[in-house]
Amino acid sequence: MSDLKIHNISKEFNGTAVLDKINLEINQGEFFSIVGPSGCGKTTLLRIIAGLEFPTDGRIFIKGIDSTSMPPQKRNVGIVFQNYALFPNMNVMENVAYGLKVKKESRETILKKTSSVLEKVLLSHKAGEKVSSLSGGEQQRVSLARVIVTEPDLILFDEPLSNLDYSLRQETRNELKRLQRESGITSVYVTHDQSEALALSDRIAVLNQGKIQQQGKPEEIYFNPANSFVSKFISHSNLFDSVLSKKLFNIEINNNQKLVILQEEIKPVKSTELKQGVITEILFTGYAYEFTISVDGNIIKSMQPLNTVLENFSKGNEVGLSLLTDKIRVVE
Amino acid sequence: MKKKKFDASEYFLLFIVLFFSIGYILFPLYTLVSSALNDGNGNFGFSNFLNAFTKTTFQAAINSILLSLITVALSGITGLVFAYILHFQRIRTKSFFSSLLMIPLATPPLIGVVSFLFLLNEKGLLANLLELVFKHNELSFKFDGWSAIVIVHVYSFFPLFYLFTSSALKRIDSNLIDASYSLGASKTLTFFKVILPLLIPSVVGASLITFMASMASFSAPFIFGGSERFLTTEIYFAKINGDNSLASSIAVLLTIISIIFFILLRRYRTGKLFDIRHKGVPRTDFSSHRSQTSISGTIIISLFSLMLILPVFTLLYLSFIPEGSLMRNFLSESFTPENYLKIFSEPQFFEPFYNSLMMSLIAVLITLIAGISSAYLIAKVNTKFKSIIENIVSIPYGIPGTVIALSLILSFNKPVLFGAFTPLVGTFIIIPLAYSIRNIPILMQSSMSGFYSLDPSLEEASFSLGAGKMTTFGKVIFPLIFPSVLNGALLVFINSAGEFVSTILLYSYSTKTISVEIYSQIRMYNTGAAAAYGMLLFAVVMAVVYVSRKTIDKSITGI
Ligand SMILES: Nc1ncnc2c1ncn2[C@@H]1O[C@H](COP(=O)(O)OP(=O)(O)OP(=O)(O)O)[C@@H](O)[C@H]1O
Ligand SMILES: [Mg+2]
Repeated sequence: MSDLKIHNISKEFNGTAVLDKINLEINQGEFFSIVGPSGCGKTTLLRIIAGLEFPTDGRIFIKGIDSTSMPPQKRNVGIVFQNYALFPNMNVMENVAYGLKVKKESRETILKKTSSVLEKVLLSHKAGEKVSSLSGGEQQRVSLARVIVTEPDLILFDEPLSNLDYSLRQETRNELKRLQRESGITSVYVTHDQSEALALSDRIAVLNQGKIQQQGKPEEIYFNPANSFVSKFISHSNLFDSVLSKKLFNIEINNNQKLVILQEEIKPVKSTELKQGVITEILFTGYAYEFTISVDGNIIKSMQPLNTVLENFSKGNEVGLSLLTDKIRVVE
Repeated sequence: MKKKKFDASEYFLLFIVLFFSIGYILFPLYTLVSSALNDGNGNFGFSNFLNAFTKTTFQAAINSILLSLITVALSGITGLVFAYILHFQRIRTKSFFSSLLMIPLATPPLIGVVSFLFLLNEKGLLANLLELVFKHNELSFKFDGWSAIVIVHVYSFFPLFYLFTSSALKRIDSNLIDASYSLGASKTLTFFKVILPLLIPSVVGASLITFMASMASFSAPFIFGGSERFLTTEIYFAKINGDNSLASSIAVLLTIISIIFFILLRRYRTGKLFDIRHKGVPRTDFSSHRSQTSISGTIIISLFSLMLILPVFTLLYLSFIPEGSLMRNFLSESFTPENYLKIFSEPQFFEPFYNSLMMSLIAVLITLIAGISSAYLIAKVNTKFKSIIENIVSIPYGIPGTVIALSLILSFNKPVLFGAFTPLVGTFIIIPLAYSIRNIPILMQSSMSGFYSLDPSLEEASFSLGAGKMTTFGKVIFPLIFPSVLNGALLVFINSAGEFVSTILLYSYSTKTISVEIYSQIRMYNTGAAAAYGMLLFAVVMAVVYVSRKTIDKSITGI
């Protein structure tokens, strides 16, 4: 049985559709991500799952129970917010204890549970501090601890890392994954950062303009995008229409189809007879080179690990293109 | 904008500020204190205080404090309930209800008192209406003394609590509330554990201001007080009886209490606000996920709002029925515009109206000059000096109007330098002078907020483009601070136009203002004239409020 079932959920705000017939099933213990561009309805979907917003249509089942019209207090669903939403009038300990106090747990239980959770998130030494004196990453860990301690059926994450700077984001991301594994709580994670979703998730759903575009395992989605939106958004692929794919690679596809070539599946070659494009930009990103190649005005991106780039390229070089795969993937 | 040396124009501004602060803030206070310490035979000491500390003064002090505490408690509860309903229930015409709160805020205290007098008097409009509905007379109730004062106070002060708490509520991220709900807390629990603690700093701030204002309140105790004694009215009666040393001793006592609360307020404001804001996108519409309009909330708010309009409505009603005493059946009278016609046709009745407008304009002018000068210096000069100026110019905010009037009388009843070597008491100018002193902190604060919001590099940019000091001030600085300054100036005008507290001590026969005239008409039981004057004043104030909202919005968005 699935832990969370989202059945035909639609939501309108003042007549404008924000979510359109969303269907998802999320299994026990799973880490499930919903990824999509800004404004596609991610937060709205999370708020509907939490009971903070009511759907215009459709049903929500949590652990098999129809919870569509259940108030948020009854759902046993925890949320970790983008801006942490820690209570500024309480210290770290009090924030974490809040959910237990509300449930009228005994003093000893509260003390025991909060200390053990604070230990897990490595914040025992900050228990008595004001939340405003913590760093962003620490605040985010408090906000996670506050949710975990109540042992919810489901944790919802709304872009929890987007307020952190780059290195802290990587660190907190791994920490978060570890905590989720250990606690085994089913999690729904919302983000607009595809790499975060790919790294963290057991499964992913791609949302755009209120509709689910595709769902599946990270690798499935990355390597087999269902449509051009997913291929662009998840893997930043190159798309070629039938004319270009015939001309460049001698691959025949239908007129309404597009050939999908991942950035790491194509590379420039210095060749005297095959002059297909011009290098307009080379970026050194540390572990790879990113080439931008212009072919008759079409922009092609290529990403190649350092050790595979044996020739010396520079801006303005005329180059040929070499495909590193024989798999032909097309999208409509 | 910071630099060390003053140039000539800045020395001139400094001169203005020092002249005003020393001549009209420090010197009168000094005169007041020395009069309180002088026993009349040239000996200094505390004998006046010992004499003043009789049973009646003691009782007056107790009464004033008690009144202020009751006012704070009841206004606080009312304002919080109002804010809670407007923010947490889905109410249809929300903005209409909150704009109604402008009425008690802008109504001059005396007008509030007079309208309630007409409304709730034992023969007032409400009694008449009830009699009409229930058809018998036993319902007549007594409305004076404590209950009357408290009702008027709550009417005037609860909007302050509303404004403070709702601006704090607007700063609370609604994710906090959602977090609390999803952790299992009910609405009530969330209110008491999460929302209320975040409101406490604002509530304390509003309480301190309200406490100070009720300690200083004069109109309501004066008119409804009867035999009950309060500190402000004690000062007035002592002065009227010619006992200057008694008056000044009580005034010093009242001032000390006020200043203590004033200092608490300033301390608290700077230290204690929670940092409620975070990065990210806080949602602040608390009522968003409720789709149903709250019926009970709408009913309560409507009743509240009726209470807000009713006093003004009473005033309007009475201004259109013929002259006469309070003790009659208003409802049987026919409407007539004669009260208004009289004011505008007979010079002697028009004079108070004219006086009030002139005096308010002069007060605006004086506060503009002294206020902008001090704000400019505070924004420009080094820190130590700037807090001295700011503190001195802020003093009048903590001093009750009665005390300011008394200190002016004691200082300017003889020729002194700051009165241009003529006694100012009894002249026209002393009244706008009192208004200026009372309002200078407001204008200084508003101009300062204008100066502080200026980006200092703008001035430098203008200089580097070749503009001189004057051009830069005229073309860059002034247009940018104009909205804030205008805001302050209009507030000064509103406060001055209906000022009663210090005017009642300072006026002479030829310098009656509209508020003094309203009072004397009531004394003569001329309800019609009093109401018509009241409505005129109300209309002027509301027009200014309206204009200020319009022009300030425009000038801010127009930049
Ligand atoms: N309470 C509301 N009333 C009206 N429209 C709303 C409301 N909440 C959200 N919307 C609209 O619904 C759409 C989806 O909003 P939502 O917050 O779910 O997007 P999101 O995917 O979370 O975006 P982001 O990545 O920027 O957080 C937006 O166009 C937004 O303007
Ligand atoms: Mg969002």
